[in-house]
Amino acid sequence: MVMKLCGEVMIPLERFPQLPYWFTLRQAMAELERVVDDVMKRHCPHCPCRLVLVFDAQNQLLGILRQQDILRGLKPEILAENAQRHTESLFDVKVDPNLYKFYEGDRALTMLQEQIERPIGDFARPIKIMLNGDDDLLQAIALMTREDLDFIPVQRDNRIAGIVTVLDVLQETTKLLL
Amino acid sequence: MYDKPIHEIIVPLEEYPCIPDTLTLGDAILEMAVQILRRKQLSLPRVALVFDESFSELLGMLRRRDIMRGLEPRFLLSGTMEYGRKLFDVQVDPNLAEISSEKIVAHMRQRANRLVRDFMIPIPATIDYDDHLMKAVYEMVDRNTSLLPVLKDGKVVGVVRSVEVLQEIALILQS
Repeated sequence: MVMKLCGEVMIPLERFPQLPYWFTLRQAMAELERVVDDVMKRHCPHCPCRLVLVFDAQNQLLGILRQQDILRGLKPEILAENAQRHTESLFDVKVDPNLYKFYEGDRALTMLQEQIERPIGDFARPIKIMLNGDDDLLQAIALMTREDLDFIPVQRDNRIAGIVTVLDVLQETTKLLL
Repeated sequence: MYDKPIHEIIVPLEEYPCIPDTLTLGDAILEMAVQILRRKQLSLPRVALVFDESFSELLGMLRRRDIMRGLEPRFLLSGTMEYGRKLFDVQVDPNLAEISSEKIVAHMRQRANRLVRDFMIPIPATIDYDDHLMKAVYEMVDRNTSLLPVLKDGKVVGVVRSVEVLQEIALILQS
């Protein structure tokens, strides 16, 4: 009974939607939607559909965009973190979360139409940690729990070849335990 | 004009995985696996809501990562990340690796008997049944969470997830 290697469990890079950094949040959402449809049609158990890989002009992987990062890009400026910091420093008060009411109705639509054209490169998460294809799953467990990550890129021959997700690690672990 | 309240996009509580805090991690995995079959889902749910034994009070939530944290062998938990990586750098006889794997799996099996309540995380934020979609966006980004329990008259009636919020935003933009 030997633990599998990350290279055996990872989802190959080509299975993820891949976009250049200058594409917009709108295009990323459309791409995710397309992949979800595709996955549902094929009833594929490995669903890499909630991540978009973001590449630079040299086709190097720049970062990974999650659904939450798209939401971060859609958050109204008035509620953004930098606005909050500014307000706090000036008045020592917190941003009232009810300010979102300012964006109800037609304002929400106008705001979303503007925000959704922002480039994904501004919101993708840079890759700071990687696993090797011949690392075993224990290493993936250790890194994921220590760094509180849901996915980690896996490299082979000094290039990123795939991504191992918390779901795959947990499913493999479960097979060993049950 | 868009004024749809959040309850129109919630996943009702009866359709979402809910477990008691007294369950073991092993049983929580089994329960979540049953949910896959019951609801014809493709994979383990990302998050389960954790209630008290009588399912009257929401106590926290358990993510896949939290289950893994509970199963992680103790020797990986001490020292820095670099130290953790060095533990794997040693070349060993492949035959020995199999023996040590068995030990690790046995150790993880033991850890699967630990209770959900020791590894669940607090609910980062909730949202009201009649709140606006933009409030969900605000709370999800602000609290770095992809799931918010939805309350009606102080009781949990469902959850709203980032996937539904994004789908709704896509619909708004297409309208």
